[in-house]
Amino acid sequence: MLEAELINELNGIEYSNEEIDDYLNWAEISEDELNKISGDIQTKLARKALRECGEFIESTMEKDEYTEAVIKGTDRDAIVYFAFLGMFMPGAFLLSGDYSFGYIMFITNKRLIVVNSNYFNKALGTRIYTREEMKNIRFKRVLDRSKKGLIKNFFKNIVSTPGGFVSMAFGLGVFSNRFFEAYDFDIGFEGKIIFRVVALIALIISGIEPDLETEAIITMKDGKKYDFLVRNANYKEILRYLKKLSNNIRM
Amino acid sequence: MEDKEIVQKIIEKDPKAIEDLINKYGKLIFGVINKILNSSNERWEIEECFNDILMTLWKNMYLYKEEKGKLINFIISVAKFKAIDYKRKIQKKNNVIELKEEVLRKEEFQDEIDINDQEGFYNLIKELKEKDKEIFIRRYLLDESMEKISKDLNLSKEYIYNKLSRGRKKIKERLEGI
Repeated sequence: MLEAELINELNGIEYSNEEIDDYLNWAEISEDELNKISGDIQTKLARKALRECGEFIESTMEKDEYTEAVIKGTDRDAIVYFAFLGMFMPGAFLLSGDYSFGYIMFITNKRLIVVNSNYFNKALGTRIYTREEMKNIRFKRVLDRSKKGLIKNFFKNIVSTPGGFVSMAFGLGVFSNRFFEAYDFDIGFEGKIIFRVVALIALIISGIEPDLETEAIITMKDGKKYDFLVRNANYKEILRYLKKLSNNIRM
Repeated sequence: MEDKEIVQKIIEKDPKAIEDLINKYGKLIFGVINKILNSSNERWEIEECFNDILMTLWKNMYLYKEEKGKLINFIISVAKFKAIDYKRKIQKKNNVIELKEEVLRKEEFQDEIDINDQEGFYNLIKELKEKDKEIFIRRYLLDESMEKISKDLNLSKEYIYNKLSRGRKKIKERLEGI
């Protein structure tokens, strides 16, 4: 509060162009470093928004009510919709503003509270249900659409495994000449090249096979469906919890 | 992006506006901090202070008054205020006394104001006239020299000295009266 009062007093102080130029001469920081800081701050703000949202939900709880799970889910439809819009609009337009990207779900021992949120966890709307209003929870395996997945998977599945690494070296010709000699393959230079290229392509295709991830669909008795991909760091734990909850609903 | 738009978006708490602020003023803010902290601080401390200033602007942008001046000036002042405050806190923590500065200040003033006590400082200046307040803020909050203040405000050094001296006297009397 006091800091705000002091900052308020800073209005009206002026600086000459020479002074501004002098400060700019001291700006020993690259664009990349600035971008990283910008990303870190935005992540920090998103976390803060999530915490504030949690604090608000907590303030609405009854005395004997407690949180069993907080789920950060990305709306599947939003992913497809934004990928489509992204073809026409700059990312900045899509990320700013109040576009619902997903849900923050608070499951307590009594209620399911669904907060619609934007990319930065800003709450855009809230729906509150009792647990009895949940009809069922289903799960579906879907492709991980992460853009970075292909290269990441290639490194994970091929480069970092001994078998994959040897196969890759073979494809690149490191051991293949010895192999052809040892097994007395009577193929010409072109044949060897084709053999290696096919081996490499097969290896790459098997290596970049995208990961699968689980999509959860919570259907409410009023017909409303929440179709989302779990984005929590403790993803497996949350899925286990949801499966357990799903069994309890069925019983 | 226009300053007005950046201010508006930050007030509306749109985190994407932080990127716009950094794109336009990131280097300048970093330059202000680097100039103040460079010689005595590690790079990570400078970056920590940079983060802190961005969060301060995020939280307090609603205090910016367009009619009182350009956004760039407000941003420099906030950056200077926070960087100097950061430097003082680190010095206090490390128990480092910059003797040279201390000696110089003691030559200039007989009694000092404890700027680490922000609440005390605000209480001291809040009832001063606008011009006197600016002199105090520039001198103590933004750590500007008497020469610079006298040049920027187009006032003689003696005038500035008298104002600071009278201001401190007033403050003392008020404190003794409490």
